[in-house]
Amino acid sequence: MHEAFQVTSVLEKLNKVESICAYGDKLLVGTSTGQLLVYRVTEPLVAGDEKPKVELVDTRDRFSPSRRPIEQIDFIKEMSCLVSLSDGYVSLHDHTTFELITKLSKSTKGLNLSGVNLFAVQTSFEMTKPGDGSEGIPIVITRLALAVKRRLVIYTWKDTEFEEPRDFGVPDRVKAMTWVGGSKLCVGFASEYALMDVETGAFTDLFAPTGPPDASKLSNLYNSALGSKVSKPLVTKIPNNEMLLGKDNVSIFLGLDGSPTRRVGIEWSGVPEEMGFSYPFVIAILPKHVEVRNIETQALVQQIPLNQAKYLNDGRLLYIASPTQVWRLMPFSFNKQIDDLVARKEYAEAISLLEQLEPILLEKKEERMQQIRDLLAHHLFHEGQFEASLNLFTDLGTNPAEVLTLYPEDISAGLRLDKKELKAKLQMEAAPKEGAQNEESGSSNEDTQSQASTSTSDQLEGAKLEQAVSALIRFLTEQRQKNSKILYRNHLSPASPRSPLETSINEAELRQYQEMARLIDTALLKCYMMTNDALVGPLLRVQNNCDVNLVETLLLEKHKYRELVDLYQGKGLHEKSLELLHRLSEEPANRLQGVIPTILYLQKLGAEHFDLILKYSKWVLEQDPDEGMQIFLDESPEVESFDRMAVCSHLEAIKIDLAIIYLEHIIHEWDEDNEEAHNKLILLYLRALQQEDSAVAQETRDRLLRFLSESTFYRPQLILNRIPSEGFFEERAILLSRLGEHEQALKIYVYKLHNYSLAEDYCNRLYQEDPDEGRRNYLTLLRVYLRGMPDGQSLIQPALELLGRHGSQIDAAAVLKELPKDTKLNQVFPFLEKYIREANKTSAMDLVVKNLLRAEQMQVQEQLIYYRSRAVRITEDRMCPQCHKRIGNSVFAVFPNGMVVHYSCKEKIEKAHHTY
Amino acid sequence: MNQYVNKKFSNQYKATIGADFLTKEVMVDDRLVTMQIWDTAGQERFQSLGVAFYRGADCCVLVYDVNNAKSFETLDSWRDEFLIQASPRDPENFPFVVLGNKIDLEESKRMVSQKRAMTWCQSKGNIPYFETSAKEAINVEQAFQTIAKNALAQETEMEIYNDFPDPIQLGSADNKTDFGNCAC
Repeated sequence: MHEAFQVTSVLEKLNKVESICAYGDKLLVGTSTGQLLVYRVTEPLVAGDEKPKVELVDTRDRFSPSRRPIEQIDFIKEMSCLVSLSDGYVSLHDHTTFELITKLSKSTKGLNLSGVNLFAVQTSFEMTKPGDGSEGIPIVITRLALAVKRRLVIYTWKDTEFEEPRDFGVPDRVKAMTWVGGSKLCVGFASEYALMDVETGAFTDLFAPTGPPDASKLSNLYNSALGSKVSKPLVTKIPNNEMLLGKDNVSIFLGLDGSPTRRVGIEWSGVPEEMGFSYPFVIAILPKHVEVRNIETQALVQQIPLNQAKYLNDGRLLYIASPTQVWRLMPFSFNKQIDDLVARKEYAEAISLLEQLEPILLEKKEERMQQIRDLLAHHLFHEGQFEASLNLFTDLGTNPAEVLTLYPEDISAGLRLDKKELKAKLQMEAAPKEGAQNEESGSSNEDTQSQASTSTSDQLEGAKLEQAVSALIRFLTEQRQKNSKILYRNHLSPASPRSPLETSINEAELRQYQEMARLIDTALLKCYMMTNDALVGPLLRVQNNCDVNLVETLLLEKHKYRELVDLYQGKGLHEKSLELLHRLSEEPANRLQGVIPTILYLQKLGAEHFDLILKYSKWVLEQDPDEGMQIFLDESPEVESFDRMAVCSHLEAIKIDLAIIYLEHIIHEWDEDNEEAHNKLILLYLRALQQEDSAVAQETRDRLLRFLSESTFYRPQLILNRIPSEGFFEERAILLSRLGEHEQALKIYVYKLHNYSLAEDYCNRLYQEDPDEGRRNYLTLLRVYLRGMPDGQSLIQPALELLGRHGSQIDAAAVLKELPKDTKLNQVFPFLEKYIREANKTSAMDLVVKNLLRAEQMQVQEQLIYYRSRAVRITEDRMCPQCHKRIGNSVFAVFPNGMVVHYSCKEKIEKAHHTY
Repeated sequence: MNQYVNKKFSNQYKATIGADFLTKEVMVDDRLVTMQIWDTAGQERFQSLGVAFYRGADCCVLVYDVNNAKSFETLDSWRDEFLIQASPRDPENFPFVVLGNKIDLEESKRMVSQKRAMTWCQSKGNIPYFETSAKEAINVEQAFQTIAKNALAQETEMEIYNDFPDPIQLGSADNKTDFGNCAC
């Protein structure tokens, strides 16, 4: 509650006031004896120390000639006349001389206008209906409605021009009526309200002014029969196309179409007897006092004890009268009213008042509004309504830094703006506000605010703190989203020219936003730490602007190492997190124990942090080579993109085996075909073989041999030079064969390894790949055998076995030349037998083929003859189906189906029918 | 999403602007529940909808394209981002469901193996995983059934907290793909 109006008694000890009316500087009082008292009022513009004064300037004893009470009086400015009701007649008087202009005693249709019990006037601007080619023009329309028994008579003046009155029958006697806009008249009967359009005559029933809304008329009768007091209908027009209809002690809001506009009506403390609107309040005269309400919040604004108040002149010149006394209700300036409300901490009320005021009525309305809403938000916060408070802060776009000052050190430490800075900022905000008065209130706000903040932040604990913090989380997430949108947009297109539509921000502002982001994210993190620490990780993993140092300390304090790693990772401080992980790996009973966390971390790093990967993979590999290898063997694009040779030499430095595992993996799994890698693997095998004991060595040896024969990417020449001079004959043989030195290779098999089957297999392989090459090599092998061992041992036996098995693939003439002279015929018998059989087989085969081919030739010839024997007849009339001209003597073509076309048409027709 | 609710699929790629919204009634354990499915824009991460929107979610569905390794790798950050926006009371147990979509394409195009996806889901607290094809309606029904079930379980849990939850929310990681979100 605050003081909206200053109440001054202006007239006292009057005799039976019946009606009042005020306009300009005049106040008219009509009495029960038909006397009109005219007063001139002098008053200040707004309520203040100076009281309004009235002086009697005229007394009209016989204003109503019949000396009957002046029941109602009103002023029509546009027509400069007074309308009054007395003795059942409505009269019009001049407003300066108070001389009678006319008495409306009979309507033109002859309807007797005596017994009027009520009238209502309204002046409005309306547009005429646009006619042909002419647009509507504004005209002033004054309407006067008279309630005569069960009829309504409407007088209309358009631009002061009188028009024929119209009249309508109504179901009951009119007890109240008010023009609610344009041609709409809201009428109250004893038992119901109705809305009437006097232009169209449309009549809409609303509801009863008493009892339950859908009560039948019967129950109304019942009520009145019982003698219970039936409230009188009251209709009040309020702004924004709404009206208030009284229903017992409640006023219901309706739109001009008659539908309710709000859920709840104003509930008065009694049944209103009279009601009026004085911007922006609604005033009701109740049996015991007068109440002033805010129509938006419906809050009771002011309660004025006025004895026997009965009459009301609403609008700007608000007067209330009892039969003997008249009061002037002057509004205080809105600035004062608002200050008043703020001082009483009724912020919501102040905001509602501000909202309803036209900006023109109040300087710097918007700023004022912001300021009060800010105060309200603080107030709500201190009341413990954290959610509401922070929602309001969000709406206000309050700087999160300011909001954080409301919270205890745990959350705001290191993030609050410097007190001084904050003060300076507040002052800067307050400075442009007008008037010393506001300056004062501003600074006092600031005082209370800072006092309050220190006091409450100390009080915030336990459940309350938790509530406050979860509200803060919501606030901050919202802020974070907004802020990051701005940052994101500016980050996206720093170089590209921005469209002029886009709000471009300069560097300083950008820095400010970044600073803000730092603040928001860090505070958010602290909130999470306090209430929901499972969210700390997610925040640190997504793109964030947390303050590294602050958060680092905090996380260390709480031993939140996992999150700390996330922080470092998010901020690219990989070295730090890897150090930490290394340290933690040895600490028992923590979630980051062991090598796995480091491995996972390294896998994600990617090629650009290759140095780090090498550096920190070392201890892992030393500790757990099997798991550690996963750093380099993981199936992720990151890992696969490493510089493989660098990885290899790194691993080699730790342990040859690891390098071998790595190379085997990249070659076999990832199809590495880099020559260097293949060479390297072979050399590593060799080195490993020189180091290893025999048990493992054999396996490695097998792998080496397999690799040598399978891989096609290594350079044999290079390997051959590096291969130890002793041993490794098999390897050497493979390498030589790669170089095409088959003789060398075979010599190794025969002389060094004494393994004739290997040598033969070797030749078989070659023969399968290329029979000619194979044939040559069988011969080579034969020669090698026949030459005998270097120590002179004869190898005639394996030579003959070779001939026995592969005789058919070796040229017999060459063999016979090579064989030593003393070879016995029966020794070479298997060879010769095989050879001759083979030769016979070939010749028999050739014969068969020859005959088959001949048969085929015959068939083809026969076919040819058949085709040649076909004929077509070209007659005089034979037409070409393509060009529809005669074939005549032209060159023509015949299709297999017998179609004959011009030769020149052949291609066209072929194109047309793809089938031919 | 369209496949599930309207039994329709469009091959045309239409980027989700802001958020799409559909409702569907499903039977879960003999109870008829109305499921609100929101499909959020994948292109601009969480920019389009206010924080309040994520708060009421009962379940979050992350969709990636099995033929696009990048879309799988970003699941992590989608999950984190969602948790921050929604700030659920118990983030570790908030129901997520992961869908590996577009399994209708040929095997050679596939970039994310089922094993890899399952491992990830397991590491995030056993998130249910489904391989789906919106185009051929493979597994779509089953996936949404699980979504509804988990969302409902979450809701019952929330009721204990006396909160006010409603929509099920469909966050999609399916950015930069051929037929993107509308394929859900």
